[in-house]
Amino acid sequence: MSSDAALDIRGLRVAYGGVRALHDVSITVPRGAVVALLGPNGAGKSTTLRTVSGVMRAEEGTITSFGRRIDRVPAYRIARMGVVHVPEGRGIFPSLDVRENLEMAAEGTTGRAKGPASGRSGIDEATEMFPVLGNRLRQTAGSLSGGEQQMLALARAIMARPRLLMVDEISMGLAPIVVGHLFEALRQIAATGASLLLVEQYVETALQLADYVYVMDKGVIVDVGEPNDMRSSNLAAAYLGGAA
Amino acid sequence: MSDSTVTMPAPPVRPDSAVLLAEEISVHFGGLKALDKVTLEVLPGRIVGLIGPNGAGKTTMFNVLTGLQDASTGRVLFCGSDVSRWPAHRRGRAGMARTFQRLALFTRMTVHDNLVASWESSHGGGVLGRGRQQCRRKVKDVMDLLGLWPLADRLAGELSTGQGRMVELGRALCTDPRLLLLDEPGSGLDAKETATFSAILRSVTSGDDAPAVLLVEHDMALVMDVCAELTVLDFGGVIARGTCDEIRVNELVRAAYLGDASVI
Amino acid sequence: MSAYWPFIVIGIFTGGLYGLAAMGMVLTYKTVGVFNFAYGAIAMFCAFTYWQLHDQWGISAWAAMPILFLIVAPVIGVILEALFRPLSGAAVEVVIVVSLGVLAALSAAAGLIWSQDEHLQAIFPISTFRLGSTLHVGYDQLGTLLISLSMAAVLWGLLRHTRFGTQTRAVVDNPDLSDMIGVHGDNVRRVAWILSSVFAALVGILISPSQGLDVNQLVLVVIYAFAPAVLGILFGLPAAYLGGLGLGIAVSLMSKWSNSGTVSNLEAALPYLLLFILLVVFAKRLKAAGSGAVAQRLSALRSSETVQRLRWSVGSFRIDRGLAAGLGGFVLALLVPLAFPGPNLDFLTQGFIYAVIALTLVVLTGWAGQISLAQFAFVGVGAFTAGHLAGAHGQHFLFAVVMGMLFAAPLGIIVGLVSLRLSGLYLALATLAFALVMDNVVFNRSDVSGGQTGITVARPHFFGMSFTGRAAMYELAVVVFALVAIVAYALRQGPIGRRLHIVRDSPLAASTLGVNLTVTKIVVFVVGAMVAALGGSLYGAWQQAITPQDFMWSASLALLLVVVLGGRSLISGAVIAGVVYVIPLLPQIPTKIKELIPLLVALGVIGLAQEPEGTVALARRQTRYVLGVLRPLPRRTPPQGTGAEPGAPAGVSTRRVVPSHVR
Repeated sequence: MSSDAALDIRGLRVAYGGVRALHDVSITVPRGAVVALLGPNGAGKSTTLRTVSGVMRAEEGTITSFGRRIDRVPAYRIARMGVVHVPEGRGIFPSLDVRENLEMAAEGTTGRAKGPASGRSGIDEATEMFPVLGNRLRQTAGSLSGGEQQMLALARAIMARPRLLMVDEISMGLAPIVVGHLFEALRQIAATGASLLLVEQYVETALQLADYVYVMDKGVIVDVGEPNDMRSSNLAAAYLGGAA
Repeated sequence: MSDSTVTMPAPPVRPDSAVLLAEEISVHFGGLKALDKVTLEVLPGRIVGLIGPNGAGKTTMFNVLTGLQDASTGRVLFCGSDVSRWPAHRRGRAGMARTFQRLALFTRMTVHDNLVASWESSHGGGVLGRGRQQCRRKVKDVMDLLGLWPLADRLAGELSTGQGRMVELGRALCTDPRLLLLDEPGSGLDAKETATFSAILRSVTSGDDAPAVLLVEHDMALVMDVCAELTVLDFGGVIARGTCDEIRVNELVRAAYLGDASVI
Repeated sequence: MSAYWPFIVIGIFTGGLYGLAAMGMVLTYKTVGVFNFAYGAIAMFCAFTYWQLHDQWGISAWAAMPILFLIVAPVIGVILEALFRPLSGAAVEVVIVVSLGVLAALSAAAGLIWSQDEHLQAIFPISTFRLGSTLHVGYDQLGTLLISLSMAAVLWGLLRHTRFGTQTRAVVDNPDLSDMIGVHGDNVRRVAWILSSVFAALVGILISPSQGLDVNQLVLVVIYAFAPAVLGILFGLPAAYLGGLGLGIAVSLMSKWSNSGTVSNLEAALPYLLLFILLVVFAKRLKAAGSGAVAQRLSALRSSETVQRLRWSVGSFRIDRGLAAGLGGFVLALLVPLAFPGPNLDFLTQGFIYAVIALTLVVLTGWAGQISLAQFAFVGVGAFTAGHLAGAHGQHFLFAVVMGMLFAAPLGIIVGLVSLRLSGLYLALATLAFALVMDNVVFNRSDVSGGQTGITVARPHFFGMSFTGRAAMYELAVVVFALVAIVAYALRQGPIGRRLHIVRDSPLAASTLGVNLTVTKIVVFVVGAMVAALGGSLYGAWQQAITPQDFMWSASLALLLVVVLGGRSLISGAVIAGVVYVIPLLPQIPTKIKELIPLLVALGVIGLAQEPEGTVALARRQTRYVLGVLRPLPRRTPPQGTGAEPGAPAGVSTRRVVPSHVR
């Protein structure tokens, strides 16, 4: 039964490196919604995103996006469908310069009706959002600071005109003021109609942006609801360290 | 490089009592000023936070302090000695221990052996196997303190970020440090792990022979929780110094770094 | 001045060939991330194929070329891509060895299919034309030059200014990310390998007419091209071509100036000297250009069971299965002459001596992570020094051996100093260059080796024992190997082994913890050089006649190959290396099989892609699988009575390791 949701995960089971990472995960991201995926480290949040984007294979379960099954589809095809994953950690190409990193966004729009978002105007858009990148277009991406690399990764993802944007701990290693900018950028993206799936450690900030919240721990979903419910939920507090 | 950078006056200098005193450290390369006359002091038993925007020069400062990078001007005094010309390994042996923004564990060794190797590296004479009792005792103490026993036989490369940060701290502690330089140790930790880390950090620095800590961190919750004082860098220069409460409301710092975020 | 022109012109043409080969290597390195040591072999194989099509079967050039460029070369490219794909995340030395395996496989295959010394017709008419008053230039030379120049321009444009160029670099840089953003990584890689092979085919058919269609010749040309290739990695494709030109001209001019003696040796060593100097001078820039390994992909993540687990316990010397097996093997080995007193004993002796040398590589590369392709240079120093001293100068054997080791030590320091600046692929190239320089400048000297004739060496005498007998020499070799192995084993169990391991694992962390990297690296190279020299003096004493051929650079390459194949982190790997070395020498093996052996070895090396830790690790893995034993990890519990809580605080999440699925 294919739904029209931006993302519909049912009964996902994933193992790698000899460890079972996901036991039975089901998540739905309605079209145009912002969904936050929270939980302690090691819960399997990153694994979930990686399985959706096709870098990892699920043993069992189905993944559907905008009505199409994507769990057996190669990663590059999933990306070209408009499912953009900004991974935790190395979301950039270290030996390419900043400009070339941004130009790679065009790969994700291959074959889609919306034309390539790179080129002059696309890069201008990126540097407007993150001025610090504008000064460093010719600099090798690997020599940027950690936070600047995160900004570059997000800029490239946005330029790829995602229909579903999955972001994995974008705030890691970033100055608070930049975290604010990024979430503002995410809010704007959501306002254009894109669907968002966010993995975050800044719980309160994620709750302000999200329409729905899933809480994960040890490879299973332990709670799901709207942000207000989460704020008053004891269960959520237990997993999120009382920071909600 | 901004002309509007305000360089705070350096605090009074008491070279004999400070664990670390960095005087007027500047780093230029290729026309870029990564650090501009930065002065920093860490007193015994204190936890000092070094915060600032990305690319402000914090990791560069760490590299200069630990000897991985040369400063163009300025000097570094560690426990009274001028270590500016000392290579990294000598500073390590003298009691300067460091963790890394991107974990630098010995990934193909077990957690237990990471700590053993750390003790051996910093205590000369370990090469011939002397001091085995001491080594065993120290490793056991650190593993007890950080609760690492369940991970003892795991390969360090298989650990999660949170576990890895703990192991790196353990490795640093095994060197019997006088100063801990922690580079974004909270990065990648979830709320519970951060709370645990804070608690451990505070317990590690209490006591008579406890090391001092210089902490680079973006997680304001962690910073506010443990740091006694903060130094704020921007564009390679110091723009503010003070207690956490003072910095929290400092206009300059809010504009450059903290924003209006409710995260604090 | 006009006398120089002919040499310059010749230099331009040969230089153009080097430049062509160099460009091919740079192209491969930039687009697939592999410095392909087998490049010359691919070129050679394609050239032979073209010869077969054109000269043997009479297919016209108009048909043969498309077959070569559109079918044969692409097929080779696709095969190579599939071959290197599982090597994602493998160590540099494994990647190097796999490319050496391809080299061996292609050379062996060519040797089996075609006889040597065929001649390939040049593509262009051979006739010459006059340039100026004295110069005769061949149309074929001119044509080659023009083609290579235009190729340089085309490839340069391709890499720098097209989307394909950026894609290949992205795929090399971060393969998982490029998949995630919509790049069809496997396709890009395939196209890149196909491009590399097609260009190799072009190099082959352009170079063969003048250099000869010889299995070994083209491989050598490519080694000449290493220096321009490094230039290309540093400064871009055109630099590779210009570097090749410069090298050709320089070599040609030197031959004009030289007469005989050391200068002519220098001319032969020039390309290698240049390579060495380039690597050392531009070490920092090279670090930024990549490490020569293939980037790790998540999908290639292996179960933790297969990762080499080294367990130490502080202070106690454990007798584990490995040591027990080693001791048992030692006793058995000592008893062998009683059962097999015949001439086969000589081969076994050779095998043990080789194992001593292999052990130095196990320590250097397997444990300390320093790739050395110079070991046989140290072996040669030991052999010739001890040979001269014990022989012509009549010194005591042990004194001669020690002197041999002392002579090798300063060379070890030199290479150790180089290892401070270079690592991975570039260290491998620098040590190779060092070995080649030693071959051409030192070992060729008549006062060292009697030129090509070599010197004779006497069997050892010491402590009243004479080792002229076959069995005596054998026992000596076994004992020496056992001693070296025991020392290595004991050291590895203790702090020294740990230090080597951490210097390899994270030099950054090790140095901030207090390890003096400089001293460690130099010491490890010096010890490796000295033990290799020890092996050399033994070898000389056994062989009783040594020539420079015994210690050539190719021996060092072969050493790396068999050691990695056997298991570079294991002492038993050194034993396997000795075995692999000896088997082809045994007269019992029929010649047909002997010809197949390089091919078999090559296939074995290619199998490394499945188990990069070598055959011993593979055997262990299979044995474990077969026995169905998947041991859970032992839990180390704190000593009793300390009152400490053994559990982890709530914040540190732990994960119980579940045994991997049986595949």
